[in-house]
Amino acid sequence: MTFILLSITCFAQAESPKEDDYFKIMKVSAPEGAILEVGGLCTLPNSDLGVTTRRGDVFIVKNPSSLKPTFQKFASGLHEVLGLAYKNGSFYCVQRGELTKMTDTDNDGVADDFETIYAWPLSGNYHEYSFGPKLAADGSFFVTLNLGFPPAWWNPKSLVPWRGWALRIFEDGRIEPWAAGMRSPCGISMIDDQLFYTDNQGDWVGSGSIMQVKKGAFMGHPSSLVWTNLPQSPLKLTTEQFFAKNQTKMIYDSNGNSVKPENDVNEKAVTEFDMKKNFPELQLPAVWLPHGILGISNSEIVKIPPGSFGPFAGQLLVGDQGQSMISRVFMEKVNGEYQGAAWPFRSGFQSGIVRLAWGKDGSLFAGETNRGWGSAGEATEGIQRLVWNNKIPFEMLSIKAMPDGFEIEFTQPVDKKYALDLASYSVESFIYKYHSVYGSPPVNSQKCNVKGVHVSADGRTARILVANLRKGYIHNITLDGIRSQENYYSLVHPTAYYTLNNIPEGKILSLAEVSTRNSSSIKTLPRGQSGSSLSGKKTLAAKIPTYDQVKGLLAKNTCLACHNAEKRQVGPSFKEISTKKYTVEELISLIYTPKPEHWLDYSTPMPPMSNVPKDEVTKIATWIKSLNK
Amino acid sequence: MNLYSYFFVACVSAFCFLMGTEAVAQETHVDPIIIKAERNILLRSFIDLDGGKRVTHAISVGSPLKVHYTYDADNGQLVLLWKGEFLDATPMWHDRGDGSSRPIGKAIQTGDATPQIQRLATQQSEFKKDTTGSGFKPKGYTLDASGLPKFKYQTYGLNIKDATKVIDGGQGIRREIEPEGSADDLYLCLARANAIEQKDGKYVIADKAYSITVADEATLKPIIRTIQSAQELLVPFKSKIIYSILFNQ
Repeated sequence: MTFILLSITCFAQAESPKEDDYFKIMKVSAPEGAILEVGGLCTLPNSDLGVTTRRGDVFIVKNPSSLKPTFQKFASGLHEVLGLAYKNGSFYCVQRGELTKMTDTDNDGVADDFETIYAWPLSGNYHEYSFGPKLAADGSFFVTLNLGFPPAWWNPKSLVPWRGWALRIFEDGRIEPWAAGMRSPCGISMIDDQLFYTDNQGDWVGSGSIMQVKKGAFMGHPSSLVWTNLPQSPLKLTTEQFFAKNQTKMIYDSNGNSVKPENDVNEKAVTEFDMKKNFPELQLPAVWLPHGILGISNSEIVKIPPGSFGPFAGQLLVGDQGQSMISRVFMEKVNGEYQGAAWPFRSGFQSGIVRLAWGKDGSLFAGETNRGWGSAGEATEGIQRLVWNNKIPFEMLSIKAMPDGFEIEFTQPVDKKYALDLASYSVESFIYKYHSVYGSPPVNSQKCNVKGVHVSADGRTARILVANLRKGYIHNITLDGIRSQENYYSLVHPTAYYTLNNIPEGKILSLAEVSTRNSSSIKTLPRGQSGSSLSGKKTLAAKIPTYDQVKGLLAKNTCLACHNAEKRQVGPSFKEISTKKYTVEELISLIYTPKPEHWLDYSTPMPPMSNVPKDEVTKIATWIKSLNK
Repeated sequence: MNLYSYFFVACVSAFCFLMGTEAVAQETHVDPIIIKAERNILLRSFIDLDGGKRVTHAISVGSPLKVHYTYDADNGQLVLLWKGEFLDATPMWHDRGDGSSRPIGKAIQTGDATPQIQRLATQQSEFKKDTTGSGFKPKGYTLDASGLPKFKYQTYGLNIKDATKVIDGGQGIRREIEPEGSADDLYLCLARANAIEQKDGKYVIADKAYSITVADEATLKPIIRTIQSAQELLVPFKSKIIYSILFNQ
């Protein structure tokens, strides 16, 4: 029977297992009527879960992994609490304006002492959200502070000290401004006692990424530099010095009002990597999380603890609000700096993921809210739990940079027939612009020729020789042709994004040591789980493509990260766009240079998508127009 | 059209104005998010004062006796007092929100978001607009068994406790402000208004529809002074001060 099933599987090229065959999303039942717009999560030593909400409540959840968790309201009335930590019997939370220590002094399960550890200034701008605290090894706290968004939202400002900064705060209320250059640092995280964060795409942030936050670092957004003249600042870089080296557009009209800058497809792209030559303080992303693929609004980063999630223990997971998903990251240090690879890990959460916390049982809690931003998951709030079923998915486990390419390790042995075939691998590289425009299209894309591959005797690693490696670029490595040895599965996630900040020294493989066989000129590859397009047959049919015909293009060009055919997500549905009766030419122009002012009802602006090839954008635009009947 | 739709339309209009487009503001119905004070309750938010000043570290305290107030933790000052229902949190909790809530009904502005305790070199010295030079540090609050807060802060080297209770009949509030230790030349400003009139054992704040009574007035000797075309009611601050703010009607 097994044999027959297996044969059918191979013959019919039926589906390989997917994310949800390994990682289940479970619900955490909440009390009737509770509004859990989660801003903070932390696991307590007794395995209870602490939860804070945007509506200012703090809950303690007992038995959070059980079918019937119980919620105790520990505190309420706080100001949009976006983070929670636990230390020596007290909770510490970050409200908009302060770090607060909350203690239940009479042991009735409810906090009665709310001590302000440190209150920072606020201008009162709506976007002055504050995140943290994260506990340092010495018991001090880190917080990160959003920039304010004035009505000219494309030009956020640090209206009071220390907006756009990370602060270190001590128990006695002393502060140490730690690093500047943050835009929207929701993803404050502590990995191995080192401060990391994710920022959100926008001006000066071409895409989300994971960054280490070292003392005195400049994280890239210039608005916070207005405070580097204060005596406590560990960073001396000034606004004037920054703009002296930047040709990017900060446009003002004759009345001195900021004009929204637009992407110029003809200009030479300047990257953060380029700009670091001028400003050594500029911290490059350790690992880029390409916008629209691995999220559109990255949030908390957590390290997978020993014993959890099988082969992935020790790696990082990153939440995303807009795409309601989690990405996985492998990091390594090359020349003293972090870099590494990122993959999609699990999509399909009910709402936007803002916080992640490990349960004592090895499952992962996701704290969710999408109010004001929208998300792929349609629920507005809640808590869910990600549980592994102890089966090992066929995945790339890690990718390490090599002097002449990459070494890819798999979770299971690969079928050598395919692994030794260069047609199974494709590598391209691209990067984002570093400019004042909201977001960036991927730019400077180049194909990288895979010249050879060496597969280890156990079939667990493949070392590929790659031409045209570029420092400072994201290398997307796609292994559509790789199959597992045991059951011929394709990879659950066949594409990885490796950020190559440095290329290590070391032994180079000679062509004599590797396979250079390439079947691609002989026959087409076996298709994996998703390749069932019949479009070849239909090219002669109607000029207006069907959804099935554009779906691949929409996915490939990351349109589906924010838009659904029928339903509102982060952006309007394609159907709703079609009701504006734009011409195909207008639609193309709007894809390349979006006009968020056409969509006042939507809060997340669309970045320029000038990377979509002309033939594809025409098909997409033609299809969108056809939806208005 | 209610408050929330005003809010929405104002935002949209402002946005349209800034974008230079001529979109017609579309009134969308928003379910109001009303916070009731069925027991003692506290909610932190931004609070806007008359004249546009935004209190960023505001703490509003609601009572089932239907008298509510807002405390400015940046200055240790009571800024708003009102009767009726408690707070409208729609501006803060609808959509992204702007971080603010607002009293339901007309609040009396009892303070202007400046430090209530200040050091004056002479009785002719002006009060400062902020805490510069005072070493002011907010220290938070404790809640008693009934959920009432006692605010704490440091200023001029003193630890201060600041507690407010609604008077049982709802005629107003009674405030107790207590230093740990004492310092020279400190004054508590009880009111600042166009005119303050001493009448029937009360200080009537003529333009604000409320009055103040000071406990142990004979010893404390409150001062009414005219400064910068306003009148101020001061008490030398050497030990615990108890005073009440009473609605005039």
